Amino acid sequence: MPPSPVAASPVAASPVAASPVAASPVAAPPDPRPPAIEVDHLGRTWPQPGGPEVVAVADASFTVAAGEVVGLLGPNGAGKTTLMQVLATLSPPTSGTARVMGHDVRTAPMEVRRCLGYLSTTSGLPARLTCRESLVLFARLQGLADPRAAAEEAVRRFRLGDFSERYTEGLSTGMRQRLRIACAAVHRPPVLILDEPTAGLDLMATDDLLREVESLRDEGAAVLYSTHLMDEAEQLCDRLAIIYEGRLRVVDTPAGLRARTGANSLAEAFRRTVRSPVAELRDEP
Amino acid sequence: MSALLALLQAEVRRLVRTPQVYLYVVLPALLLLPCGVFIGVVLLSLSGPGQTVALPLELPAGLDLAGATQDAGLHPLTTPRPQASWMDGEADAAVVRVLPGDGIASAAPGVEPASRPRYIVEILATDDEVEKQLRVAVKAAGDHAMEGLVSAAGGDPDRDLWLAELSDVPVPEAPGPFPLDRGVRAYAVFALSLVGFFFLALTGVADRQEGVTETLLATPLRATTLLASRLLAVVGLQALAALLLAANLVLLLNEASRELPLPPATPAMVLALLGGTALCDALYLAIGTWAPSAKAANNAAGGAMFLILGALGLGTMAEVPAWLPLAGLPAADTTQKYAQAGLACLALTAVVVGLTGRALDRRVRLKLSPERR
Repeated sequence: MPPSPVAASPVAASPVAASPVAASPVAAPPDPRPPAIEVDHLGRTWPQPGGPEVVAVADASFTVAAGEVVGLLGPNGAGKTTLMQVLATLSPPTSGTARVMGHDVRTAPMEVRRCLGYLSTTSGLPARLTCRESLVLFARLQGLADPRAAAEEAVRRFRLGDFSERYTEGLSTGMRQRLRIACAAVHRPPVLILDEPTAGLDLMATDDLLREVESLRDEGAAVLYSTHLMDEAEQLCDRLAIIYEGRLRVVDTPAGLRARTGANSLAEAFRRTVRSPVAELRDEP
Repeated sequence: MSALLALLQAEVRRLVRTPQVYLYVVLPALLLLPCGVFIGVVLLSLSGPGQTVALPLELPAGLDLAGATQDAGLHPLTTPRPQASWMDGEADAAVVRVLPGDGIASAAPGVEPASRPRYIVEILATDDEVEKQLRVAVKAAGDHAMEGLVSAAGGDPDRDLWLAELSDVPVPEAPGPFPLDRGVRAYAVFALSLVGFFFLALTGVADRQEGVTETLLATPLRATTLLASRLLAVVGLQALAALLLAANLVLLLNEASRELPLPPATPAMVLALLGGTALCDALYLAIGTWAPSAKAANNAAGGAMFLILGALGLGTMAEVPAWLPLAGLPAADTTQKYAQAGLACLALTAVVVGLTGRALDRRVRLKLSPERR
């Protein structure tokens, strides 16, 4: 595992928009690697008929460097999926900016998607295609010069050989998830956004998948990874970003998060972070 | 273009591997001929036997009265005493005797060979209608016998034989070209558009529900390309269904009339009908993309179906300009009008697909139930 760099990651503001608390940057040496993902005061709201707009994400700022896995933690409905959808250009931001490999998600969505692999809990694959055909399709959609060779490479890398001629709907949950990641990464993107990729998987399939994500990270991919499983986050993530009620509350290493909250476990640190007022999360000089 | 071809190939594969395609599209098209024959047999059996004609046992060689009466829709009854059968009510008409006739050979030897057989056929009939039918049958038998004689002598019946017409009996007209009129054109478009109902509106919603659309749109792919590929794949399927139906129809008609009737400007008509079908598909595609739920898509597609029916019905019943999308199709009858009708439909198809694609690019309705938080 690479070192756990702490980039210039500001702690989020108050959960109450009307009384913001000044964010205090985490004191850490600047990361020498250029950020693959840059999120700067990003916001996403939804209009609501006859009422105030719903704030899904407010004023989020963080970065993810190449070769780094940043875990996005938060309770259900905290805004994790919306934040990831904005980064994957599936939902436009309403304020702030986000860049993937230097491309703005709002103004250059096609360029963003070329250097992005995206997998969400709701990602599906076209039915009645075999695994190999699905991989070739995604390789062609990514504009690769030799999509068949890329698909073969993905079959080998993600150990899909025994299932490559089976239709996607006939696969087990674990195999289907492995195929989804293979499709998302068939073009070897420098950035991966994985939204709860282990949801519904058994222990063995989870271990397999985590190894694959580690392998992608070791090859230099920047990974933004959301999960509800603290063990998984501790094992895989170099840094953790905790989001609650649409606002990033803290971005730190797992160890730093435990130290910051005085908790013995990551799960307890997560609970304390979510329940604490923002002011308590500030870094003391 | 590369993305369009990749998606089109994938869509065609998906359609080919979908059992419903065979159940709802291919099978009905293939079953048209056997079903048509079956229905015809059932109708004939329900209509009962025709009028009965009693025929004598002995008839001149070559004079096939039994076959001719059957062709005329009469039921032949061969009996030693035809007149008695008629009088007893067993038959509605009777050929009492067939006597040799003189013809005109003795009076005009250069016109007709003396060896030509001529017959005087004495008939009895219950009413005028069956008498007319029997006279037509007798003439047909005589004509057929003459054709056989001319052919046997090395002649060509079409060139060397002039067949007289019965001046006082209306001869039933031979079946003319198949009446591919407005109603049939409208029906063809509507029937083919049902393919779009199943494979664009409903599967479009299912693809969004299962996250397939989201996954595809996370790649460098424009939504319009995705929609166009789906539309083209389904139009291809409809063209295949139309081809199967047309082949079946021709076989069925050939079986019935032994002719190959085609309406005027057939190629232009086929292309225009496919253009109309594409417009219906575009409407269903938009519904599959916009509908907030599967139930809403089902309801909206049902509404669209009535809209399509209404437009086609308008063109069937009223004189409308050919450029009026959908409504202009049934009313068209020339190549120029078919071109106008087809192009109008294709132009509107492009507008619908373009607007839907732009909306999808803006992620207006990517998911059925967008996550708000």
